[in-house]
Amino acid sequence: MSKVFQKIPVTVITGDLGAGKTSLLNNLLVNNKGKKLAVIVNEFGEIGIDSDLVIRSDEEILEMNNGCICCNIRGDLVRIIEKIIKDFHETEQIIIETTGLADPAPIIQSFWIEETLIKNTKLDGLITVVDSLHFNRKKDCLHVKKQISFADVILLNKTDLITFEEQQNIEKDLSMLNPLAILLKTMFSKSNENLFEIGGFDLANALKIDPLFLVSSQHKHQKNINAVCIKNTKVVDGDLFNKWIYKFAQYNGKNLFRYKGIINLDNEARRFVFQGVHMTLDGRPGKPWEKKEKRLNQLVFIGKNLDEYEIEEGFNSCIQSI
Amino acid sequence: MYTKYEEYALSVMSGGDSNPPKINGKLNFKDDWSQTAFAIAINLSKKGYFEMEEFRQLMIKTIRDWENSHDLNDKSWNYYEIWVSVLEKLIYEKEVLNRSEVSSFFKKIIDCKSSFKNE
Repeated sequence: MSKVFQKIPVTVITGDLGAGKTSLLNNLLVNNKGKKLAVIVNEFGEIGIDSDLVIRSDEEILEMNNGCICCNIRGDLVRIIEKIIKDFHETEQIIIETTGLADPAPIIQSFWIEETLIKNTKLDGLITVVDSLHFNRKKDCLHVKKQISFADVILLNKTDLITFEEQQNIEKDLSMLNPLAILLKTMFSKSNENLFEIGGFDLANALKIDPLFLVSSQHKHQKNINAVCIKNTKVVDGDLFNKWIYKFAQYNGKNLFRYKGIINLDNEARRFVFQGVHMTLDGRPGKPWEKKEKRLNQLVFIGKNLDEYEIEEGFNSCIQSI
Repeated sequence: MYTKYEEYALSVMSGGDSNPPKINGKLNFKDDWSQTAFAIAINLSKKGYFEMEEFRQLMIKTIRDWENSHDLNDKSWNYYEIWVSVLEKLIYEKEVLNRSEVSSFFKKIIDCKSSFKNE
């Protein structure tokens, strides 16, 4: 009988070139509270650079030089994680630092699709480091928008280099691109928050989606990237919802970056929680509703040119008739 | 994605060391009492009394304890005996029923088991 094991949490760090990803990695290595860490540093090009900047420590640093992590090397990611499991079996946390060009979607999807990763690891969160000094110049680049859209935590870095007013404007832009993410302001990528227990992909413990953004505005836009939020207290039909969400994800997958929801399915004792990245969808019954709790449906879709009318109509077609 | 709790619960239990007995991929119950015990556990979890993952972890631990105290060829092995003992433990722990209710509840399952053994 094999021993009961805990899945290894994985934190992904992303952000544009020079935003401060390596500084964040160094800070996490220095303040790791005795955890056994394994770090995967992904470089674009033949010669690894960033791992030379990483402060040497007892942690195992594995480098992927075959290209951008999001392109064709998902297999390499699996092999490296298999190596970590086999050779460094005391590892308690894995950190992946991506190249500045990486699209986070395939990385997230790998943790939902690849059997080795599903069995041995759990994706804890995606941290995007944003360079506040160069944000206005870079904010229209698709890869920057995507990195922000996918984040669970956004580190607005180098805030000492901009004015308070500039900072407020950037914060506004960021919340429009991704109303789900927690925003932390940092200098030299230093944060006092625990960035190892974000629970961004943890369906088992999801209780609610931060209600603040849901009440502030129903629909948020920034050029072609938008977030559609739905909130109501209707009872959703499980079979209808299942059909609709799969069909919706299939037809709109390319433009759907990240989406999440907590819904009252069939008036069951437990809430139903789901999340998706492009066409990859994951969902399950979650924590039970409290006896006096208002059973609130909360859904957020972040993506490119999302049709809010289509989404609302689609979701409303899943409401149980009384 | 699992919208039905029963399907989700089965997927949880099918993960490795706690995998229920199956024939050709389908659950295999040798007798009615094991099927009843299976259904009760899934339904209590569905109602929110405990998490299926808790149940699975306890199953793994209890199976391991059984293996440590028995010969691996011991013919008395019965997956659903373990299942019932785990269910009983969780029903106590989570205060699903009080002590006397639990006794009468499990007596019914035991009586059901005995009647099958006598057949």
